[in-house]
Amino acid sequence: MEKIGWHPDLPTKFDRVYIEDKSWNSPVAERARRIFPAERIERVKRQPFPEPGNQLSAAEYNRSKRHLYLCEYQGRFFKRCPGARPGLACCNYFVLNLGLGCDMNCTYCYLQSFLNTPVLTIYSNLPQALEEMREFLLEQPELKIRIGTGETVDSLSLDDLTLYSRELIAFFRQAPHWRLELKTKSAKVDQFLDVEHAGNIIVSWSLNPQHLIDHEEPDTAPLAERLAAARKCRAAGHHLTFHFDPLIYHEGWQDHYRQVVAEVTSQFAPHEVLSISLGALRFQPEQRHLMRERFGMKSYVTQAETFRSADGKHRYDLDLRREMFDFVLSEFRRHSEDWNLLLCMETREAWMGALAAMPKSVPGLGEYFNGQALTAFREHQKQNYNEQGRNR
Amino acid sequence: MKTLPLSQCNKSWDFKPLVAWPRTLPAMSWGSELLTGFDRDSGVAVDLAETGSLVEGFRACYASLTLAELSRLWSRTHPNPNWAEHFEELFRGYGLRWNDELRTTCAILAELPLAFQNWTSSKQLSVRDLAPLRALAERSQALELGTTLVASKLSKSEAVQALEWAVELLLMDRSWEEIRPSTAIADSRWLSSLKALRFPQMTSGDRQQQQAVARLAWPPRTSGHWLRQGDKAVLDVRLQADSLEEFRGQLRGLQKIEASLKDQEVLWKK
Repeated sequence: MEKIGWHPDLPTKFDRVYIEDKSWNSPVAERARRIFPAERIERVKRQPFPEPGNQLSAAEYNRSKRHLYLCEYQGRFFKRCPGARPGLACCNYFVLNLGLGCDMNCTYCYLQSFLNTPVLTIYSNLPQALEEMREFLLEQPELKIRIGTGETVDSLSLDDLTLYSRELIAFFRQAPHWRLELKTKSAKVDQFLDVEHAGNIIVSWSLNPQHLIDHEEPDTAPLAERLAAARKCRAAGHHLTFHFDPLIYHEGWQDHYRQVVAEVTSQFAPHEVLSISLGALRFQPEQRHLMRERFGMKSYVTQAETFRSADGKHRYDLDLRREMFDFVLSEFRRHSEDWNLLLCMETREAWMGALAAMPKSVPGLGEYFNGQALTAFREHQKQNYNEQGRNR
Repeated sequence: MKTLPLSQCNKSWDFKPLVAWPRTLPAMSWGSELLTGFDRDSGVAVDLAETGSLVEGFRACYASLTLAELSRLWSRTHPNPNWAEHFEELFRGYGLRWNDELRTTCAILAELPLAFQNWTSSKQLSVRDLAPLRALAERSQALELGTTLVASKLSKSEAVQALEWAVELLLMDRSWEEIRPSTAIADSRWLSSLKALRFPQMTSGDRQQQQAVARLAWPPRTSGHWLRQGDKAVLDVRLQADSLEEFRGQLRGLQKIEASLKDQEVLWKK
């Protein structure tokens, strides 16, 4: 592991790196001490900044991106995807949250709606997360599930620090019927390409036209680098998925999205990409205040004409969403009918209106869209809860 | 109980409370700093410094305060070491969580004219209601907007919405001349015009659809309206019939409307 390098920008990414006492000797902390200059590292007993109570202010949120905290997570890592809610067509999914916060700075980031941790946090106790998954695997050895690590952090943007992907990929060799999704806007893949795998790793990129990356996704990798990283993963035998999410309306959107679809279709064949999901801009209503304060009104996101949707989120007008979905879907279909296309976190009305299939009918994905996994997991949680109660 | 002549008291903590201290009670102070009765020039003040903490004493004097009053108090007292450590406790006593967001809001509000502050008190505006102000880099941008809101006839919810849309339009480089109300006293028509400026595509699209619906040949005692419901717009059709014969006639008329909608793609694409 000592030979594995890191991105040249990593050592200057944070003004300060705090390491909790208990985590000081963890592998991730040891690597952090090698990467970051000693004067930026501080050993602490607890989280360095006080919790704001409810939500971070704009200044606190901005500061959180420049301060890293390594500590042990006290709760359970392995959870159901919060998208599994009535009213949303969702893709039964599990999440493994290995940190909280992001070093990237997308204007629309949904973390802005709930993050109240004043410092970007990476959990040092990965073995516990692996143990939780192992327990579930032993209980439900036949069950097919998908697990993602990109819900509360980008899966790979700090992976050259944590190297968690290596251990996760190794763990998933024991569960070849499970799928691990590493979701990212970075291009950091070199650190795990040599790890032997069971062909069940999905590396997943959120894509947008370069114009939007420049405008709305500061500190993320350029489109060309994301696609180059995807090609490396393809060569290493990993599955790929792409997310055009969020689609953002702006002047020239059709030309820009046509170009990015052309980039994808010229570099990848339909059978090389497990699925391509589309989602239109959406955010919790209270998030608009923080976005406005942090990015002003020159952002396409803050100035968007959005309205409250049935699920309470702000979204574009349904007709515009359908138009955008249909346009991008048509661009893919124009190239080939074989692309697996679906909509993500979208209302049923939009699903029915767009050209996309419901996820259950997408070849290769349908088997993962069943209620069986959720039922089994609820049962697993209940047992865990009861056991904890007995041990108390 | 220790008392001090008012002539020996400071009024630097005068936060202009909205309710005057009762004349029947003596003024209260914390040491030589007056806590109540800022409008008095003579008499004595009871010094609460020996009876408990500053916050306890202050809370005993003022059972409830608005956000604007608390903002003024904070702006006058926060450099004082007696107060500096106690704002969390003080604001909690008035149902507010002391954090960076609240501190920023207090700082902004305290800099705006007293008339605007008092207006926010009369409307009982919250930190969240005033959130748009935090995005304005220049306080001067808020002055004309504040003056307009104070003089307006808008309800609380309308005013909060107007504040947000107006701030957003200012941040989108719209000039105040474009944004300000066309009438001397702003009313709900101003809110409509702000909405049209803030949501130009939706406004013009909905207007065209409304006109298209109105042009359709609706049968007698039926009507159609294009209505926006959040992120979608719908065709709302109503009919009244008092006989089967009339009902059948209306359905035949509606079928003609359906055919013209289909042929001309007036409201929806095929």
